[in-house]
Amino acid sequence: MVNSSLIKELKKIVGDDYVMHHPDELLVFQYDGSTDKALPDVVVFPKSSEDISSIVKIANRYDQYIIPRGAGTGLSGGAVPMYGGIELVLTRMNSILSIDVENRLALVEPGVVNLDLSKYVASMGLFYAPDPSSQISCTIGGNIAENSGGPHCLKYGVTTNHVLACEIVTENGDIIWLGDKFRNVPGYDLLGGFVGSEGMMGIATKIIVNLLPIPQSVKTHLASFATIDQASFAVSSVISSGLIPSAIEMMDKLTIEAVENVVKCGYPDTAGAVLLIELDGSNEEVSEQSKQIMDICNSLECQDISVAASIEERNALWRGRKGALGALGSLAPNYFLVDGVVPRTKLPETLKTISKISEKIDLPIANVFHAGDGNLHPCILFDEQEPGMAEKVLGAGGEILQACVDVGGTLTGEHGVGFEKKEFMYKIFSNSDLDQMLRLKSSFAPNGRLNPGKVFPGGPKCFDMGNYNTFRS
Amino acid sequence: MGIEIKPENTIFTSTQMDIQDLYKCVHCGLCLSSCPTYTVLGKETDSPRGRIAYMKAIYEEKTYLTPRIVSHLDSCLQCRACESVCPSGVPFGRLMEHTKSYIVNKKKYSFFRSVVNKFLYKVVFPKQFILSLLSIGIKVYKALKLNKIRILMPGFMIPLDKMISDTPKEVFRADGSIFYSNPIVKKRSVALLSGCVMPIVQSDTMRATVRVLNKNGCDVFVPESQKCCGALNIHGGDLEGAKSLAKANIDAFIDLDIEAIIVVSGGCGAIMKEYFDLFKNDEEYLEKAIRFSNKVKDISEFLIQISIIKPENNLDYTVTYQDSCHLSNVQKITSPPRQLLEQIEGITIVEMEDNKCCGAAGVYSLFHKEMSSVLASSKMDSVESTRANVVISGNPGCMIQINGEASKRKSPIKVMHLVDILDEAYSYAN
Ligand SMILES: Cc1cc2nc3c(=O)[nH]c(=O)nc-3n(C[C@H](O)[C@H](O)[C@H](O)COP(=O)(O)OP(=O)(O)OC[C@H]3O[C@@H](n4cnc5c(N)ncnc54)[C@H](O)[C@@H]3O)c2cc1C
Ligand code: SF4
Ligand code: SF4
Repeated sequence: MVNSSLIKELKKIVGDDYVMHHPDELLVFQYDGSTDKALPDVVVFPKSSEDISSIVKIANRYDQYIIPRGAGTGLSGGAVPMYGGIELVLTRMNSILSIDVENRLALVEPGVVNLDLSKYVASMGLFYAPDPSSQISCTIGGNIAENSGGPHCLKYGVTTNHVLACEIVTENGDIIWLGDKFRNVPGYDLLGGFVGSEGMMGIATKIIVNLLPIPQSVKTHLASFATIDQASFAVSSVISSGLIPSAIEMMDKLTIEAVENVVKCGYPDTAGAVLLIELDGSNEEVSEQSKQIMDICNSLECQDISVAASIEERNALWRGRKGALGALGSLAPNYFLVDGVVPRTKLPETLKTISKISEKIDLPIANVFHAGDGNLHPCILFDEQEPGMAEKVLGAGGEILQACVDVGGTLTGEHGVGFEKKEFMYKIFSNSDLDQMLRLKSSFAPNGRLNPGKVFPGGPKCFDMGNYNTFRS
Repeated sequence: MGIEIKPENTIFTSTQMDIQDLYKCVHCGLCLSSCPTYTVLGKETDSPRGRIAYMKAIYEEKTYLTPRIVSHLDSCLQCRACESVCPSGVPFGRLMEHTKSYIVNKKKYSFFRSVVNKFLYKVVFPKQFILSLLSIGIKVYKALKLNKIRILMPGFMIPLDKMISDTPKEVFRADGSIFYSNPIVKKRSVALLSGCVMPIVQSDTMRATVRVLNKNGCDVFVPESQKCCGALNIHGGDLEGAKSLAKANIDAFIDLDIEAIIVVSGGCGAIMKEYFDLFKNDEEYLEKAIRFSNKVKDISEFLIQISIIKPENNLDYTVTYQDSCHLSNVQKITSPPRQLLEQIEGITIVEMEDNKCCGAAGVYSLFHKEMSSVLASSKMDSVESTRANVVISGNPGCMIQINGEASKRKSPIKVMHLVDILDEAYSYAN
């Protein structure tokens, strides 16, 4: 429980309106986009790095955990305060501080919504490349903490490839900078370690990101195939032909049905799977490559392939893809989204294993994913009200991840480890690997006060200064 | 967690909310940034996802309607922007209507608010004569030339004064008149919803509507027994009051031999297209309501459907179009008004960057002054950045709100209804 003098001190820093501590109000801070839930003890909405620094120092005095939160769209329970504490919500820090058009840089606060940045710089002919499907709501701070990707990361890379520098508040309340707007910094690349640290190494308070010029031409193809196997094969063929589309996304039959039910964007109902293949670049490049894509798909007996004729058509195609998860939500009260990665050539095999798992547990599993990077998102549909469901679903999730690891893949493509997947870390890391990771984290946050209980297997405290080799034995 | 469960915490049974609707929400958060209150406050408590979480928590008896929860639920504008981006198809509007009704049933509004609610929903909107009194009040106000002392007025009075000063002399009466069209053009018959506030405050627009429809070959009938559409009752949680208004309107229009029921207010049209939601347990009216709703057409969609005669006049305006929430988010009508504007020679259309709710939201501005005025001000910023000299809208609430904000800023910008500008584009040739 928090005591009233803590509340008083917090209110002094951010003002009465920006501290919440009544249990009824706090109910809406117990979830994120995942299935995990836990209540914070108090929620604070800071406005500046200095606010955050003071709050962290107070937390130290009162021995409270700090859990950073952006928009709460995370899919691995990252922003859920599993062990209570102070939830630090960064949505008020949402200013785009400056744009350097010549050097194509933006200095932003962490609460800026991903898509808002791209919209803001569009008139300058620029865009911010990482585009998670949640980009209409998720924040740049959350993106950094999760090292988020998105459909277009096939060509452009993930968040870490676009962040140049970060001001952070550390566990003891210091305000420091990592990285620099120059691409090469003397000394260790601490920024590289910080990106993807899921709120456990520090709180990102200012961020310098790299912007890219909007490509001259964009072509979005919708290719439909009778089976998911054929579609997977098409993905491999496109990539091995040497083309680098900006995105290749796949949706299976169940997903197509769900999307058409809610979003209605013109996916064919006869297809077993559809691919969205997008190309961008100069006009000549794109029309030449588009021909190649058409040829490849046609030679693989696709049912149909078409190109979006207008911006509206293109947006409609993407609206379907970006709304796919939510649309699946319309089929069942809950979904559990698994985020695994496999080598592209292993797609058909892994998808077969997934469909076997689906039969075994007698729950539908939909597949909608970044096929170009082999980043699978099997989505298990269920109803949490039914008894025993949670264990069943978690078990199946584990089996799917195991299947990914078995074919040489890995645990998470982009949604982070968070709370949900921490126990799976043993599947891909040795004790010594985890130890090393933990030592890096501990050098930033030795007391485990920041976002405890995430990423590393075990409870909140057992790994504080821990040693995985001893911890596990 | 320390929340005490109170006996009053029964489920939403009194309102017949469809509980399945609640569980369609998968808390993905994609709706957050479309929500005006979340955008302004940055707080989950005042977001669509948060409000749904509160509803669920109440239904699951994890909490009850505490004053804090009531205030977060009540700060919702019911603009339904969240509904139109939600990939799960959560019918947020419907959920919120039931929730408001639950708040009213549980008597969770303050005494003052309850009295005002009762007065508005039971007396003012349903009874046209009260509105007539209002119109007399307006005349007296004008006769006393109170508007000449605007400099002495407190800031919040200015928008009201502006509205009163702009009110035309003559009201538009739903008195069963039929306005016949030009006999040369092919004939159609339509009926017109006159509404409750528009025939007083924007009676000129009602007359313009008749002229524009006549011009395009439509005879216009204005049934006398029609009533206020009931939208404000529904939004305020008075579902029973709304039902009786809906019935009266269904009865007034259902047997007419007409092609369409024309509505010039986005908010009214939206609710009339959803009347059937009110009659889930009333088979007789359910069937009638569906037939009725199918005939309801916003003026813009109707005019596009019948394809209008090209307006003769050249109008040298730069306009920007304000999407009324209930026209765009509920009726999904965004392109017909723009297509109509494009048919007027000389007009340049500049789009606003941000198309969020202007904060009018029915009677919202009465109870949530601060949020309403923040939204009005940000709307006006977007309007001004287009450098347009005319703002067009298809909803009286938006027009009054933007007009009020413009007069606060002493902005010369003109606010017009879509039919007003069409009428102007036609009239000189008549
Ligand atoms: C429908 C849907 C689609 C999605 N699609 C994608 C996708 O395509 N690609 C993808 O990568 N992800 C995707 N996600 C997951 C999620 O949107 C991303 O992980 C996103 O980056 C989270 O941002 P957020 O602002 O919501 O962060 P939150 O969920 O609030 O927080 C996520 C983590 O970041 C930490 N954090 C937040 N802000 C800061 C900060 N300023 N400093 C330090 N730590 C911080 C939190 O403690 C938490 O651990 C999707 C989610 C949904 C619901
Ligand atoms: S209302 Fe829709 S968009 Fe919003 S959180 Fe729920 S499912 Fe997602
Ligand atoms: S109806 Fe409007 S104000 Fe209410 S939650 Fe939805 S978007 Fe927000």
